[in-house]
Amino acid sequence: MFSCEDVRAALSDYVDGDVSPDLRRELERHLSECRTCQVLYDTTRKTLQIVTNVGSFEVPEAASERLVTRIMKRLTATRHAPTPRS
Amino acid sequence: MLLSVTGNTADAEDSTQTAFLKAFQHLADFEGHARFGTWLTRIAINEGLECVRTRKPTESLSLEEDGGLEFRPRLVLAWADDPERLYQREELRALIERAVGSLPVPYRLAVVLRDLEQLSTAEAATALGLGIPTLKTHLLRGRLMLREALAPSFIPRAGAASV
Repeated sequence: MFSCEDVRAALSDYVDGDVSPDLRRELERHLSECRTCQVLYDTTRKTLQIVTNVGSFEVPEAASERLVTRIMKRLTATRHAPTPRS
Repeated sequence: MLLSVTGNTADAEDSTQTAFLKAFQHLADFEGHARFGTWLTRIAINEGLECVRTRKPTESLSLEEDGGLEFRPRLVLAWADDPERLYQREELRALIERAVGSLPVPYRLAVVLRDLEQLSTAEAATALGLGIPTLKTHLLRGRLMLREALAPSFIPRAGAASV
């Protein structure tokens, strides 16, 4: 019989759809009978949905432009640096 | 991504610049075993971690380290049906940034690469130089901690059913 601890250990893989059919059956049987695990599953699923919808953290445009300028300057300097004689 | 590693814009910018320069200097070393983006991500993460190590030499940043932290969720109460509608988009973004920033570094990186940057499990593991089982352990703990950190913002104030 699957315990709440077993469900917690497999929760991340289950949310990702990365579990075998047998494990999925066991998890779903437990979830249908355990209110605490149902809430844990539902709130974890909602967490990932919110995080995924928000997406990558945005770099402010000014910072992004400043960074590209700095990188290009350094790259140009690197390319034009005199090569040491052998 | 480096903002979430370093925790501030100045260090994130410095690390990004160094990562791009290193990638440029070592382009010949890219062997094509992983996607170019994954290779670049790995260089960037190493630079970000190096920057944090220099700033806070006492903070443990070993990605392999498990720490034996078995995380037990405590706030297991139902959330609002459509929690995203409770906040404006910018408020929500700030809420997520704060919650992600509060995670221990190894778990934070797993969540950032998988759930924010949408890398596959294999790509995230490669970018962090971890095996897939370790990445999955970090991801599970990171997601559970993130859920816990966000819970107070999404549990309805009245009428929540305690379980």
